[in-house]
Amino acid sequence: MQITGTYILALILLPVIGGLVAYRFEKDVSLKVNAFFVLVTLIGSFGLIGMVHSESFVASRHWLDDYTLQINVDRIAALLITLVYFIALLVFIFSIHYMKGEKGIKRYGLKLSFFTSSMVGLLISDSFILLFIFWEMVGFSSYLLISYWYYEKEKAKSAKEAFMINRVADAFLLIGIIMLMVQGNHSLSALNEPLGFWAGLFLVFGAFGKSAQLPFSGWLPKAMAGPTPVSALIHAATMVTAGVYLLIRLSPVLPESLKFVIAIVGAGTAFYAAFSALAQYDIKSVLAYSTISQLGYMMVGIGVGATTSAAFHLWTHAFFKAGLFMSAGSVIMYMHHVFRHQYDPQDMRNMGGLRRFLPVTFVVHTICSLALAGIPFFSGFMSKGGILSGSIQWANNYGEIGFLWAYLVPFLAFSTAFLTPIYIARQLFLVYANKTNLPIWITGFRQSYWVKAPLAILAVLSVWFFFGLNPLNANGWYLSEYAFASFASIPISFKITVIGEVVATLLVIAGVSLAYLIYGRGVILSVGQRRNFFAEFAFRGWFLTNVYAAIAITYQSFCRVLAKIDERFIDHSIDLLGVSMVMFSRSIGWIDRYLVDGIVRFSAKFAATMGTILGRLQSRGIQSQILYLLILFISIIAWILFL
Amino acid sequence: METSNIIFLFLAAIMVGAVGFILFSTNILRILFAFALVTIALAGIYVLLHAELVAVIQLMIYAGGIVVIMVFGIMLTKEISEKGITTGTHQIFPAILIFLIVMFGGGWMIYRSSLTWHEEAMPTNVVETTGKLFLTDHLLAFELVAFLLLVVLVGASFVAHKSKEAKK
Amino acid sequence: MNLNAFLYLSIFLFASGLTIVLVKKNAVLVLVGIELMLNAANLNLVAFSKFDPKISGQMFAIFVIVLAAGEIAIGLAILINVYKNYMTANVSEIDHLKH
Repeated sequence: MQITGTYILALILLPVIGGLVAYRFEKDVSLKVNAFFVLVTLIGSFGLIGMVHSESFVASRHWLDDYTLQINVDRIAALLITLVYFIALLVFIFSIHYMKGEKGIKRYGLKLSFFTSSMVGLLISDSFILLFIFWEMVGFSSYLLISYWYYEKEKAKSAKEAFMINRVADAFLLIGIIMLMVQGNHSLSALNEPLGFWAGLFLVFGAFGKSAQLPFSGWLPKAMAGPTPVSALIHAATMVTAGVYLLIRLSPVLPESLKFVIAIVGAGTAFYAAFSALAQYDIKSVLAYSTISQLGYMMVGIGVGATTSAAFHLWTHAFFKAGLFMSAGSVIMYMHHVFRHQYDPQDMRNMGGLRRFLPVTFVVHTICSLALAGIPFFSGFMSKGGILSGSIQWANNYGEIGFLWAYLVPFLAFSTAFLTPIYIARQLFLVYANKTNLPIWITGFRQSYWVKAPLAILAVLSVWFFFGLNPLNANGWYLSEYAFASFASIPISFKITVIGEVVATLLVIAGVSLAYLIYGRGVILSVGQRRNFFAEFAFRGWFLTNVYAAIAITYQSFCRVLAKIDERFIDHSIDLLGVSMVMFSRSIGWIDRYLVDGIVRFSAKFAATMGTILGRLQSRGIQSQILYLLILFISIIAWILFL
Repeated sequence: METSNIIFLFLAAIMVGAVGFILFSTNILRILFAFALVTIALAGIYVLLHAELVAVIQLMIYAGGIVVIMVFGIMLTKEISEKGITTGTHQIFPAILIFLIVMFGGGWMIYRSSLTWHEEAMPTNVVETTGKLFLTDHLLAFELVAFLLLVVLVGASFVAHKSKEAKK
Repeated sequence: MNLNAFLYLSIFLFASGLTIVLVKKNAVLVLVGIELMLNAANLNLVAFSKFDPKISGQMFAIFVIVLAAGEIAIGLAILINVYKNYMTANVSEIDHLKH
């Protein structure tokens, strides 16, 4: 038991140690050192899967009175740790070439290691406190990574915005955690009865924030400001999956009402993001919105009860999305090489016909896009099919009891399935097929094997074979029985599965055809082209960031009004109170000085005067003596006469 | 109004004025002359009271002797300067209080006592009567006063004379 | 002309003499004050003896005048001696028995 604990601790810390060790090496090899450490950790995490094969590992440590920090490594956690380290390793390998010649490359390596380790910590933590700590660490390290080019004002600003939106969502999560802990629940594994609606809602909102669901979606496109490998890591395996992971963990105890909320929000987000992706010109923004969209699918899967499918989609998405991002990264690398800062290397309008120069990237990009779009025989089809048919089944169940609004979820999900191939095919056509007016011809550019290798691996891993034997069976995931046996999934009838998969396939084919009709015949888009309202609406991500800004500005002016009120009335009355206190004190002081002190001083003066007068009795002057004698004499006479 | 009344009021006015001058003036020599005036006026009042011998003795001793001795005393004890021979006053307010108390207390007692003369026949020759009385009724006192005067004479000259040490 | 008029004058003289004794700084003037008081007493004696066949008051007045003369002689002698020692005739400054 103890050995396993040390082992897990080593697994978490090794990448960070590698990041620190890399500081001792030359710039050129530091990332390789990092990658080596991550490789070692990856091998170690395979060992971890073996360790927790028979029973999950639980270790707790007494922290404060009434608080115990507990970690829980079960099969799901071990698999996801392996996934995270696998993607991280590929990202590090990709970065070796991608980040060549950048300033602060060691800093980059350490940040990336720290980010990976934080995510792994989040995966294993069981206590809510520990979960929240790692949750925050993930958010913070993502901020560090996004603001890698901190000296570029726009990017630093984007990082700040992404971080702030995360903060808001994290506040929800913290509230939910506090509500649960007040009820006496201290860890995820200890939850065994359905959550209260409000506590659950807050937790769900926290998860929405990390997984970029509405209304927190705005931060993910902003996170594109970081280096492309970072985007690959953030979007594929870490950070954004944290929310999904939390909800998968919570799914046995989520009440139906919350699941409904999750399904609706997930479907809405999926549609929103797919629609927005249609009008993006930045090669990475398209992928960012597609990530939001796919996360929406995962939410739908959790909401409709197809938890295994959601996890499956998380799993497949990690590979093909990492492949997509790395492809985009290598395209950007090429364009950067060509343009030399003359034009925007990320703008798809400046690209075209790249398949001749980047054949490997083209192939990988296409394969991963097929997986994303959900073409049969690729991984995305299987996982998405489970979610889509699950949503139909779920809506049917609700429809039977007369709740027809539930059909909104499958409708939106299928709409997204139609939109997804359109935007990804659009990207492929714009980047690899069409021509461009700009001079992008160049000779002597060779892609390094450091770039090609991870791309190839990810492309291969987007094929159905690595996930299930039957490419058409959405529930045929190898790992579903192994890891998710304990999760109660919605029973989906065979008929609905077939209908869902067929309809999805038809929609994908229709979408690709439509994309070909629009973009596939040599359309040349120029940068200055005007957009109509719908395009602008989609391009701006439905103005979500503007809504945030409006909320912020409204809140600010509200605060200003409050400040004015505070200044005008409350401060004034306090001032008045103060002034009256001063006046009161002055009058008290006056009384003290002139009445109390006056009496004291008068008595003193009286005593002094009496002393002076009586002291004259001892005077040396003869006449004074005579005077006193006379006074005494007269007094005696007066006494005799009148008394 | 009787003539004696007028004379009394006149003499009393002179006395009151002179005494007031003594009280308020600072010049010593003028004070002494005012004092002489008081004694002379008092002698006049004695005459009004049919005490001619007392009045004469008053004039001789006071106005003729004591005032002169006082002037001598002043001259011997004051440095005469251009400012004149002056003196100061002190403890005025208690003194005024004493004055008022004595004045009005005494006046009140005199007013309340309502004394009057028991009018009898006076001896016609006061000087003769006085001489007889000195040698009969008041002989002892007369002799004692005579002896006292001798002692005073000797003592005063002894006290006032310059000692041998002072001469050196 | 009644007795009270003389008595009022007498009390005035006495009170004035007393005041002079208290107020004046010069020793000679203090003696003047004493003389005024003696004169006041004499006036009383003489006034009371106006209708006295044995004129005792007048006799006493004469004795008083004689004693006053002696007194003034002794007083001035002492004063001169004091002045020799203290170089002042100011009563308030003469406050030591031995110089």
